[in-house]
Amino acid sequence: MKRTRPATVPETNDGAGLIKPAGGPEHIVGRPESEPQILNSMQAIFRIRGISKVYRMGDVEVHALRSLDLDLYEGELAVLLGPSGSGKSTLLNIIGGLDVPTSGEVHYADHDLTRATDSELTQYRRDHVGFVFQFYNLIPSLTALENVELITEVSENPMKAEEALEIVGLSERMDHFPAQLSGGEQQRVAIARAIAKRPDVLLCDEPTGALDVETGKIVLAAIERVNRELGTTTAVITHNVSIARMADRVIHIGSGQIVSIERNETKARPADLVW
Amino acid sequence: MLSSLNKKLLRDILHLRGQIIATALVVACGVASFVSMQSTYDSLLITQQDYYAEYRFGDVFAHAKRAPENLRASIERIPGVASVQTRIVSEVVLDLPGLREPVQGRIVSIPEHRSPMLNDLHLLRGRYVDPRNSREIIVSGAFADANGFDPGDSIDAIINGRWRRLTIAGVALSPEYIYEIRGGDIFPDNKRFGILWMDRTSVAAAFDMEGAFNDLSLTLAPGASEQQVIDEVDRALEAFGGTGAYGRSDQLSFRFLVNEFAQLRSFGIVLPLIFLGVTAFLLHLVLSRLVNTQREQVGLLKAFGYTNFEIGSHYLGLAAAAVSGGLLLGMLLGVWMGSWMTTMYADYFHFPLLNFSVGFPLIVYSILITLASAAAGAMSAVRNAVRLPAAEAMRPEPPASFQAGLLERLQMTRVLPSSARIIFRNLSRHPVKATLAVLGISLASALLFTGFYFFDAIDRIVEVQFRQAIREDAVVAFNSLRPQSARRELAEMEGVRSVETFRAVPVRLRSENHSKRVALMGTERNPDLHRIVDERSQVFTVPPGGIVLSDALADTLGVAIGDQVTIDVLEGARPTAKVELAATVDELMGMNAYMHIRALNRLMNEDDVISGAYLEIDPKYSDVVYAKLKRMPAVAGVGLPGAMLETFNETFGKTIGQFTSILVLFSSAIVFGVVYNAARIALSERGRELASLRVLGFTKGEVTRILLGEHAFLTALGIPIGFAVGFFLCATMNNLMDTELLRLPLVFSQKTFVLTALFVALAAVVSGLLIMRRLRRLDLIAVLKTRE
Amino acid sequence: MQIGRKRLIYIGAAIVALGLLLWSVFRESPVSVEAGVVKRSPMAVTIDAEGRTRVRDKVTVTAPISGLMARIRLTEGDNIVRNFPLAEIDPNPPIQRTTPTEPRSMPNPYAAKVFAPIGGKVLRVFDKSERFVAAGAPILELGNPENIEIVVDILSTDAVMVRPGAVMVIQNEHEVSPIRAHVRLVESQAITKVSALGVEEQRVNVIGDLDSKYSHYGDNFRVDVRIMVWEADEVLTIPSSALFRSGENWDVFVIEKGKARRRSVTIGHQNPESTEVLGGLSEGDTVILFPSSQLSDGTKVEAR
Repeated sequence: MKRTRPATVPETNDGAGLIKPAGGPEHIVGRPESEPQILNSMQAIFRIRGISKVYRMGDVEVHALRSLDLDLYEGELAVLLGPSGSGKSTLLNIIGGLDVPTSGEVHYADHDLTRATDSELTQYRRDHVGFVFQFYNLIPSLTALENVELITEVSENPMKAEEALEIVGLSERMDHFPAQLSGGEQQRVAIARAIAKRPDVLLCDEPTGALDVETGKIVLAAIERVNRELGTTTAVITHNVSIARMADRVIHIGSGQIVSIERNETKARPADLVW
Repeated sequence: MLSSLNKKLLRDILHLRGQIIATALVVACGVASFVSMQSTYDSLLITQQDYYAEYRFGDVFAHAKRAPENLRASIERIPGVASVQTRIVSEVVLDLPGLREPVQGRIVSIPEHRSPMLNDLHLLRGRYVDPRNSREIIVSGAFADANGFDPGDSIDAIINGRWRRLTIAGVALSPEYIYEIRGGDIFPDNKRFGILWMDRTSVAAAFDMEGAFNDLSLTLAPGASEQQVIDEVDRALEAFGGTGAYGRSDQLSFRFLVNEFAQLRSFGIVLPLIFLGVTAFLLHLVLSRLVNTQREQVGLLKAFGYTNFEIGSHYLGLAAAAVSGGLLLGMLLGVWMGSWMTTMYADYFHFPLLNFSVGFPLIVYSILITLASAAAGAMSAVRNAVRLPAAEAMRPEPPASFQAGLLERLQMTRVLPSSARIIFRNLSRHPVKATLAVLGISLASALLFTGFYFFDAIDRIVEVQFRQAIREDAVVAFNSLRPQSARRELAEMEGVRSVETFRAVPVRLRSENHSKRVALMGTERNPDLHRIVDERSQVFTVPPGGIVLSDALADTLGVAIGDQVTIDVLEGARPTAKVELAATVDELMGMNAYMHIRALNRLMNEDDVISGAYLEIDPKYSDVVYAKLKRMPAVAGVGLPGAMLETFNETFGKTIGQFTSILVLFSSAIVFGVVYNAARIALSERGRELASLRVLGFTKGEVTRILLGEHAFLTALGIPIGFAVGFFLCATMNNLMDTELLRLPLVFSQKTFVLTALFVALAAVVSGLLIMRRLRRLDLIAVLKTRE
Repeated sequence: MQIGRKRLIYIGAAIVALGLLLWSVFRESPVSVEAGVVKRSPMAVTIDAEGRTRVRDKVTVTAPISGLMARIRLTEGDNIVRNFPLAEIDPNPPIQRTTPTEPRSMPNPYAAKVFAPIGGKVLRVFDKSERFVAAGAPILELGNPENIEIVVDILSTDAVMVRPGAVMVIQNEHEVSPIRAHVRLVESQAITKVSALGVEEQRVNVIGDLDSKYSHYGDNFRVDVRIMVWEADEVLTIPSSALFRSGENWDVFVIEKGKARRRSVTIGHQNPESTEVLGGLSEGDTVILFPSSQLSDGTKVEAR
C-alpha cells in the first residue's frame, strides 16, 4: 500500500512544549522533488508529550529522558543526534513501543501507546514498525535469509526476503549464519529484516556504527529508499553529524531533552555523504 | 515449508542436544521408575485379588481337636456364613531322599473327587488324586520346586507312628498357602516344609478321624460381620477343643503376603512419586534456565511483534521436545520393566495367574506431571522475559551489583587467587540460582543415597537376626507338650552340644480395645543360642515375672512399660491372666511376646513342660542326630535357621535387592543428568563473560578453572546436603515400610556415604570433561559476536 | 597439551586421594563378634538326671491273711515303735444287719493283729478305709525317713562312666545350696523305659547315699542329680561355644591384633558350657564365641 501524504496544516514544536501552527518560510524544507506546499500538508503521525524515563541499573538511577515533547511527521526522515547517554536510544525505543515512559504520553495516529496493553503494543509493532538495533540482535540459529523470513512471515504485505537482502547487497550470503558474518554484514541483515516488512515506521539505532564508509552508504541508501518509496516514517539515531545531512529534520538531543530541531533545506543523497 | 520460528526451534534443539539428552535421561528415569513400580504394584494387587476370588480363598479359619462332621451343618447355618469346608489337617514327619534332617509336611484333606471347593487347588502339573489309591497326594508348588519333585515321585511319611510311602499325583498351588510357612517359622523353608493334599477318606482312616474333622474354613456372605461369625464358630467348636477361629488377617500366609505388599507399596507408590516429583522439579529448573539464556531472543521476537502466545508456544515446543523423547523412552522402559518385575514377583509369590496391566490413569498421570512441570519451567522463564518491555529484555543483563560481600568483609579477598575470587563473587551475586543448583544436585544425590541405604538395612537385619539372635543349628518342635526331662534327653544325645528349651502357647493379648493373636514364647532365663536382640545389638533377658513385647506389638496394643496386659490363652485350660509389661524390645523381625518359661508354665497351671528346644549340633554327628530326631515319635518337626537365612536372602533379600538396584541405576542416571545440565547451562549463561575473560588474556586453563571450579564447588556442596535430604527420605520410607513381619533399621554404613559421594563426583567429573571440550573449542569471536 | 609439573602433582594427588577413598569403602569393615577368654578355672563333667529319694530299708507291711481289715487309724507321718499294732484283719467277719454307716464297734477277738516289724515313721498308708484285703496285699509302708538314699536312672551308655564313690550333687530348684552324696551302687541290670520323647531307652539305676543327714527330704521326693564324672580344681578352659569342627578336629578363632586367627586345639573334657584345653591355646587368649561363616583366618574383627 503506497501511502500518499495528505494535506493538512503542519504543527511544529519549538522545544518549549507548546504547539504552534507552522511558521514561516524558514522552516520549509527544500527537497529536490517536493513542492513547498506539500510540507504544510504533512501530518504529525507521532505526538509525544512530556515523556520522562527513569531506569534502575542495579543500584543506579538513570534519568534517560526528562519531560520531552516531540512530533514526528508522517513520511519524514528524522535523524536523532546527540552524544552517548543523551537518551536517544531510549526515545527511539519508546517511539517504537519497545519501552514505556515513566510519565507522559505518546500517540501514534489514533493509538495511545502509553495506555496500550502489552499485547496492543505487540500488535502495534507487528503491524507498523520495523527496527534496526544497535546490537543487531540476530537469531544465531537462523541463517541470514531465515532471519529476514522470521519477520516477513508475520507481516501483512512484505517484500520477498531475498529482495530485501538484495537491497542491502547480501544476496551471496543469504544462507550464512550470523556467526559466519562480519559485524557489518550482520547489521545489513538487520536492516534487510527491518525493511522487508515494508513498515509504516522504521526506527534505526546507529545503523552504520560498525560499518565502513562504503557499506554504510549502502545501508543508508536502503533506508532512504524505503523512506522515499514507501513513505515510511523513519527515525535514525547516529552520532555522526555527516549523516544528518540526509534527513528531513535533525533533532538534537542532550541530557534527556530536545536541544534543538533543524530542518534541512536540501536532503543529501546517501551516496553523496562523506565521512 | 517450516516457518522460521520452527526452523529456529529445530536448530536450537540440535544445538542444545547435549542438554536435551541429559534432560531426557532424567525424565526417562523418573517416568520409568514411576510407571514400572506403580504398574507392578497395581498388577500384583489385582492379580492377588483375582486369585483369591477365583480360587475361593476362605475368610475365616478354625482348628479344633476333634469335631463331629455333622457339626458342619450347624456351622453352615450361622448367619453370615456363605459356605463351609471341613477338613482334617495334621503335621507329619517326612523322610526325603537326600535330606538327612527331618522334613515336616502338613497333610490337608481334600474331597475324593475334584469339585469346586474353598481354598481351591490350581494344578500346575500332574493330576488330582485317585480316590482308589489311598497313598496318592498332591504336593504344594514351592515345596515341589525346592526339592525337585514331579508327579510319580514318592515321599515317605510317618503317619500315626508308621512309615507310609506316598506317591505324588500332582503339584498344585493354593491361595491358602501362597507362603508355605508353618507356625513358628519367620520365613518359609520351602525345602523342609510343604503341604500334602490327600483324599479325605484316606486321611480320616490314617488319623482315626472317620466322621470327624479338626479344621475348617468358611467364606462370609456379603455384609456379614467377621467377628460375629468367629464368635459363633468358637462357640460351636469349644466343646471339641477349638483353639479360636480367626480371620484372614491372622492367617499366616495371608499375613506374610500382606506384609510383603505393604513393603511393595512403599516401593510401588511412595518411591516412584518421589522420583517423579524430583524429576519434575529438576525439569522445571533446567528448562527455566535454558529458556532464560534466550532472553534476548525473546525480546527480539517481541520487538518484531511476535505475540506472547506465539513466543510461548515456541518455547513450549522446546520444552516438549526436551521432554517427549524422555517421556516416550521412560514409558516404554517402564512398561517393559514393570512387566518383567510383575512376572518375577508372580513367580516368587507362586501366583498361578498373572494380570499385568498398565492402568490408563497411570500413563495419563505421568504424561501430565512431566509435561506440566516442563511447561511450567519453560513458561516461567518465558513469562519473565516477555513481562519486560522488549527493550529491557534485549538489553544485556546489567552487571551484577557488586558491593562488598561476605568475602570482602572477611578480608579474605587477597588470599584467594583471582579465579577463585570470581567464582565466589559470582555465586554470592546469584544466591537463588546457586541455591537451586545445589538443591537439584542434592535431591539427585539423596535418591542415590536412599538406594544404597537399603542394602545397609538388609545387611544389618541379617547380622542381628541370623548371627546374634538366632545361633542354634536346629529348632526341634514337639507334637505335644513334653516334660522337662526331654531337655535332658536331647542333651544326652551324642552330637548335641547344647540345648535350650522353650514353650510356645497360642494366646490373644489384650489391652483395652486392642488385641493381637500371637504365639507367646516361654524362654529360659539366660539363653545363649536363641536370644532376644534389638536393632542395636542389645541382648534382652526375660525377667522372672512379667512379659516382654516387641516394640511394634506394644504399640499395636497401646501399652507401655508398667502397664498390665491381659493374656487369653487359646489352648489347654484356657486361663486368662494379667501380667505386667516388663520391657519392650526394638526387634527387627516379627511381633513377639516373651515370658520366662517357668512363669508361663505357672500361668498355665502346669508342670514344667516344654514344646520344643533349640539345639547346637556338632557337625560331625549331625547326620546321626537328625536320623535320631526323625525317628522320635514326639518330634513334630525340625527347623533349620540356616535354611531360613537362605530363604530370606532368596525372597526378601532378592526383591529388595532388585528394586534397590533399579533405584540405584536410575538415581545414578538422574544424578548425571542434573549435574551435566547444571554445568552446561552455566556455560551458556556465562559463555560471553568467559570469552571476554579470554580476550582479556586469561588462559584457557584459567577460564576452565573458573567455570568448572564453580561447578565443582556447587557439586561438593550438594553432596553433604544430599546426605541430609537422603537421611530424611530414608527415615520416611522406613516408617512407611514397617510391617508386622519386618522392620528396616535406620543404619548407614560408611560405604553408603562414600559411594554416593563418589558417584556424584564421578558424574561431576565426566560432565566437567564434556564441558571442558566445549570450552576449549569456544570460538571467542563468534561468542562475542553472537552473544549466545 | 603440555602437562606442567604443578599439574602433574595435582593429578597425582587426586589419584592418591581417589585410591584412598575407594580403599576405605571396599576394604572390609571389621566383623562384630562376641569374645570369651581362655582361663584357668574349676570344671566338672557331670551326668545330669532326675532322681528321687527313697527311704532305705523301707518295710512294706502286708496283710498276713485275707479278711476284713479294720480302718487304719494311723496316717502318714506318724511315728511308731516296734511292735506297735498297725492293723486288724478279721478272716470271718460276721454278716452285718446293722446299717453300713455304723462303724463296727466290737473288736473281734479272733481278728488277726498286725504288728510293726520295725520302729519308724509311717511313710505311706495304702488305703485307710475298712476293706477286704487278700493275703499279701500291702497295707502300709514304714521306714526311717532320715535314712534315705538317692535313686537316679541314667542311660546305660552313661552308666559305664560312673563308679561307686563318685560325687553326686543333689539340688532342688528351691534350695539355696546343693547337697552332696556319693554313689554307693550302680545296678547291673538295665531297665527298658520309654523316654519323654517316646523313644525306648536302656536305663540303669544308680544309688547314692547322702553325705550327711538331711531332714527336709521325705520319701519319693523329686531331685535333680548331677553325678560328677570328672572334676578338676583348675584347668585351662575355654567356652564351648568357641569351638567349631574342622574335619575330625576342633578349631577356634583367636583374636590377635584385631584379626581373627584360626587355630587348631586339642581338647579334653567337655561340658555344655566349658571345654578343657589341652593344647593350642594359652591362658589369657581371647577367643571368638559362636563364630559365624563370615570369619576366616585374617578377617578383621571387633569384639562387642
